[in-house]
Amino acid sequence: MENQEEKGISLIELINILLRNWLLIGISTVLIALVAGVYAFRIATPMYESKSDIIVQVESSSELGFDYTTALRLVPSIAEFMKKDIVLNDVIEKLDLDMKAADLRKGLSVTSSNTTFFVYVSYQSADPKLSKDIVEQIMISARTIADNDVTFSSFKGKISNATTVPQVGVYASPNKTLYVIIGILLGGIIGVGIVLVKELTNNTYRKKDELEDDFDIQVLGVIPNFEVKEEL
Amino acid sequence: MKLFEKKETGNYQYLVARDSPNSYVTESLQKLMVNLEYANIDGKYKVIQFTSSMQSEGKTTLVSNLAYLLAQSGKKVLLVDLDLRRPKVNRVYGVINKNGLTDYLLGKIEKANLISQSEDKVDYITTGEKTTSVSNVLQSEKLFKLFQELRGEYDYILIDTPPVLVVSDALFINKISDGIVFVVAHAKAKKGMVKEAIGALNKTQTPIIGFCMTQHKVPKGTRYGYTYKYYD
Amino acid sequence: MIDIHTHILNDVDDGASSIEESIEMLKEQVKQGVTECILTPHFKRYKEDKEKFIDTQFLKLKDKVQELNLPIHLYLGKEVYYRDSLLELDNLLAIKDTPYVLVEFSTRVDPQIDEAVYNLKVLKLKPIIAHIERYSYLKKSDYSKLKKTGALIQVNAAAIIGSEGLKRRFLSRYLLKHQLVDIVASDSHNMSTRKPNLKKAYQKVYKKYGRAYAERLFLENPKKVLDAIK
Repeated sequence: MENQEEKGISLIELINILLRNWLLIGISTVLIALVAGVYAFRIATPMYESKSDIIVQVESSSELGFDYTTALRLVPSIAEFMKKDIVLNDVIEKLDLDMKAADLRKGLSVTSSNTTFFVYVSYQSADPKLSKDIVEQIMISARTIADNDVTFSSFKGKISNATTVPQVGVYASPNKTLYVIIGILLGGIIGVGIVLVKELTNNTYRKKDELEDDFDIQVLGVIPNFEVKEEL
Repeated sequence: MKLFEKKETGNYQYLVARDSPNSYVTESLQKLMVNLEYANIDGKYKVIQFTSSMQSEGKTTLVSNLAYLLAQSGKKVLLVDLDLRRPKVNRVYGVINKNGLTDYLLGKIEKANLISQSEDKVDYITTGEKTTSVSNVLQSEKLFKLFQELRGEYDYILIDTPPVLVVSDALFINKISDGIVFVVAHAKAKKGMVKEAIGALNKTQTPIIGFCMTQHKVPKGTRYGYTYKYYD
Repeated sequence: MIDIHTHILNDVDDGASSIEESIEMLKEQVKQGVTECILTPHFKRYKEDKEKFIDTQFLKLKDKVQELNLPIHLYLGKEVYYRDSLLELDNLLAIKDTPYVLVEFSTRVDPQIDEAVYNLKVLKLKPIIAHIERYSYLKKSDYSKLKKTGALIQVNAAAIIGSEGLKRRFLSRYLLKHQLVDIVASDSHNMSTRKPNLKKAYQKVYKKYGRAYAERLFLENPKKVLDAIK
């Protein structure tokens, strides 16, 4: 007979513990998934995204000739330009929006790549129509300012019209499925966590299975609690 | 006759099996008896010792009720109190602790006076006058002989013994008993203690027949889907 | 107030050593506000002539009290030093004509008071554990257990007052706080070192716990003993 006392839990014991507490883990999972679901489906504001893009007109002729480096710098410069306050403020003015440039920038994404002349503009808003309008207006304002403002003379004539007509905002977030999946996973993890804490801090026997698992001796009976009064 | 028990845990005298034969508690006790008899199908276990890891785990209550049920089912049963330091069997039957085991072993009384009969067909032996030499008593030749004789007179001899970890008495008693029923109270003794107790018992030659979980606290609604009424 | 534990009866034990001292003690009791007093000489074994002697002494004292017109009622009982073998005496152990038994135990060796209480209860007697604060082998959980088994708990006034040392004082305070005391009595033995002292104890309890509690411990519960006299 081995005399050593094992401290700690073996993997099998661990699995047993988890299986015994399937209900708790199940409830936790369902509960948190539900919370996530409710949040995603009901509480969170759905955001709609509208996008479009323009081409940066890099001329191949003229005195400058085709300057590769300049062209390379031009595309990202224009992308950056489109996010600047001057453009955004114009958009705000033209659309009569009740927000500041900084707010507008939050929902705005303007990207460009090193390998193409395209600049992509997208905007997310709770109002799908607004998304569309803003995207549209940004491109218009940018082009107008580029063409007319002396400061940006290097951009003059470089910004094309929208290549694709911006559509009314399409549902972008929250990603409902993702939320629910995360909810399920998180619920499961928390459930397991609770069970482990409960098991590790409690070191008395509460269920007959626990006895049978630990000792390989059968439990002949379980007697419910009752109080005995010594009456004489 | 009470129709419904007011409290969650019923209030009974020691012999709940006698006073409330239709209660959920008694049902559980009957299941225990059935399982015990089934484990004893080869008749190996005649002298059965009941012990636990700590005090107040419900041993005496359990063993006295079991004795009652066995006697009611037609078996000839003797209940012996070998917890010399904290005798309780006399309280089950509401008698003073005299003319008991120690008195017999010291030669003060004859065997005929030793065994008392309760009104429920259960014979019992109380511990008798207090003695300081408990281990001597438990290891005496005379005690051994007594049990040899009693074996022939009864179908079952149930022994109430002290908790294993409190005193080593239970280990001496092994020499007289055929098997051990280990009592574990719900959520009471720490697992480490139970493991230690079982370890000590496993080292003796007496097999552990099985566990019995007592004082099991379970909310009323979850009684395996049945609603049990506490009337008798 | 009612005092259920006294050694005022003269020349029967280590209490009063003359009838004059008894009278002095009783006068002191009256002064303190005691209206009824149970005399409880020590009892260790049954001796018929001793019992007869005690009865005579009791009657003599009662006569004297009547003669002097002292406003105090006397009753006869005993303080039993418990041993299992005494159980056969059954209700001879009790305070006369009541089921109450004032019982004391060894202060050195743990005699399993719970067992003794149970045994007495089997005989349908009502044990009152005398000066429980003296049994240092009792643990905090034992007191409520004893009550549950059916004992009444008596604490000596001296312990509450503090004249028996800090340990007993703290213990009696603990017992009072947790309502583990049923009766307070004087256990008075003489007019010098162990005088009647219920009044001071009463005041202490009254001050800390209020009138109702004090009345219960010094009057109402002791009265139950007297009321049981058939």
